[in-house]
Amino acid sequence: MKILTVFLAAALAPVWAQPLQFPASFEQLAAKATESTNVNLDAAMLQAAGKIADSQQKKSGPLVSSLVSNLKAVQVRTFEFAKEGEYNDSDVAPIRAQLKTPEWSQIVSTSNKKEREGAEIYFHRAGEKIIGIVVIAMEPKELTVVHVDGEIDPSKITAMGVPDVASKIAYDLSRQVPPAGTR
Amino acid sequence: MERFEDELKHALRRKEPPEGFTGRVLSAAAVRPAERTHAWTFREFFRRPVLRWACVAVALVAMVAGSRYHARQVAERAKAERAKQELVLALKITGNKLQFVRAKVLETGGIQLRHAELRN
Repeated sequence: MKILTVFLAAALAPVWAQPLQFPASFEQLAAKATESTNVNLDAAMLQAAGKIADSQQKKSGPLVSSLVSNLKAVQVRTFEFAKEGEYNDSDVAPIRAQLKTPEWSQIVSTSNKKEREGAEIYFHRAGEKIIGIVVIAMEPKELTVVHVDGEIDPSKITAMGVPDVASKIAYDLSRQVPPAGTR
Repeated sequence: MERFEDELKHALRRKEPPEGFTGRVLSAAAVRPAERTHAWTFREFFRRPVLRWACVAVALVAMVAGSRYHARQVAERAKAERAKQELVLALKITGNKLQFVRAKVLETGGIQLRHAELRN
């Protein structure tokens, strides 16, 4: 029975979303940065945060707990540097490597090498649902990586005060670029 | 009237107690305090050192357990409050960065679109 359980767990392991592994170079970046943010919230902490936010909520609207109820993890890393060129593309490469799986699709990739700017958005989809999102924002003096693991309801996020930019971006892109086959 | 007085006198005449009455009363009086120990009063209960210390121990254990529970509640609440602040920060950063990406998408002509749905 034990062996069966172990095999079952091993077989199901890839189905469960894995937290994003941040490269070791991020610690060196944190040491160089003038300001850095490190947020790691697992499902239990998100539930606790949702409950306390609900109890403190003054205005009506969707409860924070309902927003985070389907989330498994939220990971954020931001680094702000005093001068340009403190990080390079290879610092982000290990993260991109983790997103090169069939479950993840890159929605947006913008790059301006002259201004040392770039942005990427990846969605983890399960049918029509978005069950994970990764945002990599590279600015001359700032690097940000956000990973939200779990089902995301855009309407609830918008109601919480965070604009549903992902949908807007998808809309902008659909207007700018003609679908393949017509190009 | 005389008959009534005679009857009254007869009824109220001195009568000797039965044999051994005094002894039985005295022995019953001697036994009673021992029987009464089964029904303890509050004061008698605490007069026993073992019970007194047992009560003190129970009260101490209850106090320690209660204070530990309270401390744990306070710690959990503080942890949840910290998690809430981190969640708010994470949502704020996510919103800002998505806005940043959108701005880049709108201003940059040469975006590389890898939208799977548009490609297929």
